[in-house]
Amino acid sequence: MEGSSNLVRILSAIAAILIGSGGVIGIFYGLNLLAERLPRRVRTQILPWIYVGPALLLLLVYLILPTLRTLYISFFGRRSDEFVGLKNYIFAFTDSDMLIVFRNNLLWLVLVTGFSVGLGLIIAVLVDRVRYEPVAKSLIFLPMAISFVGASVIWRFMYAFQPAGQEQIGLLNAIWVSLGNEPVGWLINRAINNFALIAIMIWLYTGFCMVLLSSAVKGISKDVIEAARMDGANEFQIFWRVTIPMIRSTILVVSTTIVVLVLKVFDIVFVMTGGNLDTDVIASRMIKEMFNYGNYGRGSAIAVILLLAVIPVMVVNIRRFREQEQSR
Amino acid sequence: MARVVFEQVTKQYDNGYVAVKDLNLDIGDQEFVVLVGPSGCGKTTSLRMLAGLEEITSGNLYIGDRQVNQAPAKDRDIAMVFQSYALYPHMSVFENMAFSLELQGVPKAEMRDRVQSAAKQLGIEPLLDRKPKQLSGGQRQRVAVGRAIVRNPAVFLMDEPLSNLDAKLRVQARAELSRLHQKLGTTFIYVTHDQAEAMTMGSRIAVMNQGILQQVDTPQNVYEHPNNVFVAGFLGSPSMNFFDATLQAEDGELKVQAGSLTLPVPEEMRSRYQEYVNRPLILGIRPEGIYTSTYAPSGIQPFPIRAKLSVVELMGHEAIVYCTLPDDTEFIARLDPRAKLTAGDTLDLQLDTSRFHLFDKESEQAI
Amino acid sequence: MTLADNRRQAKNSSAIEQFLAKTPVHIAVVAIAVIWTVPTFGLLISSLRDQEALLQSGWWTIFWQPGRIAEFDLENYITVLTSQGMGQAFLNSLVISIPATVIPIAIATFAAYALAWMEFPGRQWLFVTVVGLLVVPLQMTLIPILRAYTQLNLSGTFLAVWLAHAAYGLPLGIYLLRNYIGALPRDLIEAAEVDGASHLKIFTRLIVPLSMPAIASFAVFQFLWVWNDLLVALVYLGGNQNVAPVTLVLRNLVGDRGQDWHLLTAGAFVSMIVPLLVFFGLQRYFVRGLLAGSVKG
Repeated sequence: MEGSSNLVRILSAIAAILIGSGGVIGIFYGLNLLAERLPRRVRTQILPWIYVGPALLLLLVYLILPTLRTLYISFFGRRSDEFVGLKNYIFAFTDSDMLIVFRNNLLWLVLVTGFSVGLGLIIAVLVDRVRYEPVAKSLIFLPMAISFVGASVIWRFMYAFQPAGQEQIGLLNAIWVSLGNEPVGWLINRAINNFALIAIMIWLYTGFCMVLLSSAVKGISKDVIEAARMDGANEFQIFWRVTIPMIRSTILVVSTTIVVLVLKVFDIVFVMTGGNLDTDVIASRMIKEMFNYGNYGRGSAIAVILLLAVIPVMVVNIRRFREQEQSR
Repeated sequence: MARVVFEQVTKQYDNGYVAVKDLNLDIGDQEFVVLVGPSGCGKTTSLRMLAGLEEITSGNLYIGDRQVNQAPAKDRDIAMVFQSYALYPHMSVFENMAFSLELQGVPKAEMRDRVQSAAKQLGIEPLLDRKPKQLSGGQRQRVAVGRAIVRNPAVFLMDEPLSNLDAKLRVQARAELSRLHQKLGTTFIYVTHDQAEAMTMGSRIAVMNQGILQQVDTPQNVYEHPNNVFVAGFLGSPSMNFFDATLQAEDGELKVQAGSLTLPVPEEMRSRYQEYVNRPLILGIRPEGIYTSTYAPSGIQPFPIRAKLSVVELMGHEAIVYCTLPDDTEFIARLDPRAKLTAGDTLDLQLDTSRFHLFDKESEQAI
Repeated sequence: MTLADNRRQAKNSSAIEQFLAKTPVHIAVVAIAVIWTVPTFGLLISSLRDQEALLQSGWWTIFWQPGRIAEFDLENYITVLTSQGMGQAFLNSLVISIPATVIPIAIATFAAYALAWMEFPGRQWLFVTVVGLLVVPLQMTLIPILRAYTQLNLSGTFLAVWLAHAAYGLPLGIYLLRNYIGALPRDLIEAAEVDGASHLKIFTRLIVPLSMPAIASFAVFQFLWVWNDLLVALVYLGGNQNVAPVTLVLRNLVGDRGQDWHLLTAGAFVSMIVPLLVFFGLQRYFVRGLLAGSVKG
């Protein structure tokens, strides 16, 4: 019986996959068939909208309208029934817990972006000179495939803490204790727990930065490097004066990508510490306001603050895109 | 049949730029017409309008007896060979050639026959299973032509199909395309910026500049009787030498005065030139209308000049010589390399006064 | 000694010299690679050890006592898959991830083609909007959509997460694919037009096969993102355990049973196995697509 119910489960899973995937393709074919029946003049007018229509609809329903709605809700109370003006925002910027949240996010932003981009760049330059480059790159890039939840489990083991005197089963404490120190509660100690969480994200995204930067480094023509060498530059001078300026635009792209990812970070904090012990960040705090405290007004206000934080990135993105289009 | 007519066709882009202005061109069935001109002259735009890839702003376009102003590309019964060949990189040569037939719903067996026979004509049968990436430039060009042939279209359009080939292959492919035109007996419209291609291939050539059609005629006529300064300068390599000149009447004779040059006008031309006396003109002399005294052929009407040779380019079968007249006017001559030509020397040359051209300076039109 | 010998020796010694000159580089690269791998490797070893061993000694101790490798077994995996709902969760993850990858691919590819090659009013403006939406935090949308889902009774259904994931993935998909498709040679599309192909034929016979690298890379991206997602599943699936994906179940394991570490290790590996396979299988495309999209120009 056990076997047959498993079979049913697997079959229904396959059915669900086929319906979900086939449905969307069916819709496009159906719409196209309809369009083909229209007179040619009308068809050329309508066809583009059939192609972009579904995308437009989804973006509108799932991103644009909800964003506006959230903006609206953020001016209302916890149940969205009374207008409270800027009260939620005043709370967000004055509450002492919220100030810690902002401090934490700033830490995340600076440290994750700085370390993952900086380390990624150094590794990209170094790895270019060894023959086992593909293997080394794959290993460093690998965490990219691991979920935040999975990574959290992995690092729970790294950070495991036993009271002094007992055998340490976490690698970090084992090394620390063997050097003659007292064991450290990496996730409990308020002075370092934020850094412990930040390290996880650096571990996850350094590989991503490295891959992008590495291809930019490889894109620099050998002639330029050789010319610099003949001009008498040493390797460090080449790195600072030739390599970095030449891949500046890639560094910018990678950095902005990381900034956006960091601003949205939620899972690591949520799984590792639940935001306790002063480790909350904007996104995790927002979920807390929504689901634990049931305060939709405050949750929305925090989300809006998140949006405001990414607007500069958005502007940079759009401006860069416009420039690209012009040079096309 | 597949006559092609441009009637007052104009193309103006959204940004206001006029690419083609009031084009009138009547191309007869089975003709091989070459549109030629410098880049940006509107020749490719004209071709693309005919292909249906570009909308026309005003005027009328006819293929056969049908007005095709609005017809989509696929309904115009045309085939086009692109400059880049535009072979579908993910399809084999066979699939590339069969694609249009497949879209028309031609039965499989017929499709195979047509592709096979086209491939045979072009000598690309052994390549049918290959992907475009595995072909040489010359082979790709043939496949592109083959893709056009299988459709058996009323009109062939070719947009600089040879410009990606090296010089030697280009000469060979030129002859092949001419032969293909004779065999197929279809209307060919061919765009190029290369005047050698235009001269050798076209049954007529249409010279364009800045969106305006300058002259349409057989290659020889256009070469010998250019309508204006642009056409005269564009065809021929090295180009025609131009000098500022005036016509002067003396003792009932007409003379062209250009700097220190004074050329007599042959008798038969006098009546035609009479009204231009004392007006600013441009004198044009082709480099091959100049000879060294030793190797001047008979039958010319020689006029002696002395010039200093500043640069001599010996090409084997000819010598291109940059000369300077005593008044520092410069010109180019194509001379017989057997004459002892040394840069720096001063030499006696002969101008053939029966082959010069005169243009009105203001309108730049031939007179 | 012959000349050839001499030369060979010179070559050898210079190879050694070269290697030595690069020693700091080698040390740095190897060290970083090891540091980056050790955490995952530790978890893999741990997941094969039983509950007691796990809590008594660090995973690295087995290297001091190689005999204990014999103690490795798959007990933890079996427990997690059968009794902890991980098996069902694994299926759920597949049911969520595959359509949530296929749907945005189809929608984004059509839209990208239209944005790149079809003439219609407002298309520039539309694409600029997409570029802007790339960075909008999805947190902005959670509350209104959740409310709508609750009203429509969609909360806790696969359809709810499929559509949400599809929409959240669309800006990146459209952006990547538009850049790629827009860079295809114009001649090819015009040749197909002259050959008599309709837009749909150009799309299916030309655009899709030629854009495979970009499509594959977006597919990998979107699949990893959906499979690894916790937030969307948490919010829109609510507490419905029948449809919960592995990330949600794993997170519950972390939360509820801080002591069952042996199950956590195996659970984490179960959740990682599919993304790792996808990642290694399609790494090439993944990287290429990233490059095509983000570092262009």
